[in-house]
Amino acid sequence: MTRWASPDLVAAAIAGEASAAERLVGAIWPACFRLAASLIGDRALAQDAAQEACVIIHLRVRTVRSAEAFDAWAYRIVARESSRVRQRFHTPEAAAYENGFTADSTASMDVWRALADLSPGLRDVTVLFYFDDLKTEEIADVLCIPHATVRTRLARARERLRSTLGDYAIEPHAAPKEVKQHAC
Amino acid sequence: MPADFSVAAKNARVQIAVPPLDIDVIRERSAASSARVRWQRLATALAASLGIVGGAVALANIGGGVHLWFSGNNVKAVVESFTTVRDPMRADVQRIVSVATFPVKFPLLRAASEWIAYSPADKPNIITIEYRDSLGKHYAGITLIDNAKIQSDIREMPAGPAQALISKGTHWQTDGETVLVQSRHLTTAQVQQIKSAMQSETTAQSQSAFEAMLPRIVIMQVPPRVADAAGRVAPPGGNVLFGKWDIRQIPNLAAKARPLIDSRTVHLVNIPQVKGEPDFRDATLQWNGVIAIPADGVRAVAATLQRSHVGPNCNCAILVHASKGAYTIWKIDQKTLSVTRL
Repeated sequence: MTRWASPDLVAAAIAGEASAAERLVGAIWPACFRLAASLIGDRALAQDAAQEACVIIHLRVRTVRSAEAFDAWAYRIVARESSRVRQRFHTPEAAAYENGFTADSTASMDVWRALADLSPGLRDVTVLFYFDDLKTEEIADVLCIPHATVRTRLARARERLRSTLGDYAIEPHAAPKEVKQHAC
Repeated sequence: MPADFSVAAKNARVQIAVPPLDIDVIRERSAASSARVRWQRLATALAASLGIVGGAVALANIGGGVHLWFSGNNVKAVVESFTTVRDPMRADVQRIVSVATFPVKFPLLRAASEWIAYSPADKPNIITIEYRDSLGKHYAGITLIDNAKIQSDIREMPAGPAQALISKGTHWQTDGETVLVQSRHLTTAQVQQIKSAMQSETTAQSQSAFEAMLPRIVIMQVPPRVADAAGRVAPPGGNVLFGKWDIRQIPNLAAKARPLIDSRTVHLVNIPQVKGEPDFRDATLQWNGVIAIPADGVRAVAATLQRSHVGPNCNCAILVHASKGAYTIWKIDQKTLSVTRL
């Protein structure tokens, strides 16, 4: 998983040190926002979701059992809040990823166009797998869905991406392992 | 060779411009969420403490803001609205008593009252008092209900899961009210003592004795031991004690020429029911808007704090005494409880 903040800062926030939670939120904000933006496809809604996630992280970071568990926990919160915002505002799929998404290169435009073409369920696994390099079992844990569902969705997403982005290599980085389902 | 989608995806994400984080918004919303969590616990405690009146199968339709149904050892609560006052003062209690639908006879415990919750706000027929011990931990919860609102007819419990009662308590009825006591810390003898004292006292006597135990300073989110230290130095008259959260607010309020609002009283209204449970996340919160320190006082406090280099990380509380337009300010160290006049 991507390291969102230094382990020392996370440990300080978990220990309840003065202002550590605020510094932690400041440190993870760019990652939170970019993840939410990738999942939702709208900057304004992503800001709402990322802010809500940061409020929860600020409020409850002391309940995280260890610094090692922080990243998975934070991923789960951002993914959940993004999903909530998406459901609440019924993000129009066709218009997604157009407003305010900087696309300096053709490749970036291709990526956003391809994501907009995916349903939210397929998009979530695609973002976590290809953007964040999460393993399929980690994705299952973050999205609170069975591991088999992640693999199915990923396979469907790949098919779809291949038809949209014929020129790209969209092969999995490593063969996913069979793991037991995480409790959500 | 085809481009790698994963590499392109990561590059595309890095190009997303990130808006600046407004940490003040996070702080404010975090504080509001924290308060909601507290209210969720409070309402659950209220429902659970009321459950003890249920007995085998009974029903209490409290009316107004809180409705309760009992079945066996389960309780289902529909909480539409309630009001809480943290660290209630004499004026708060007198206001509640004056509009209550029943003659309120207060129980007397050798413990400080942490908060009072009542419902509905305009004509309370249910009042819960939570007590804390000298360390600030929950000691006991006592609920007073208008006898006229306890019904004996059995109606159908509304759909949705009922909450299993996890704690036991005891209850009795006096002339006008039903008293429910819930505490793991009170012995049977102590409960009996409370009951006897309440039966031998008049309503007026119990009220004046209860009011005598209330703080004489406005306490806003400050630990009890710090409040006790402030109480020892506070002169008679208008005193306000506030902690870290309000210390952080003071410079902004002073810049905008705004007063410091007394945040102790909060009304929770329009509480939606989700899967048969009250969901406080989407409840509407309303504050009374009572001014604790007027705008000119806030300016004076801000200037003093700035001059003395006191900020939100001082680990202290600030006591402000207002008298004839002049403000006297003390800093109380939360660790050592030492009091310094600024």
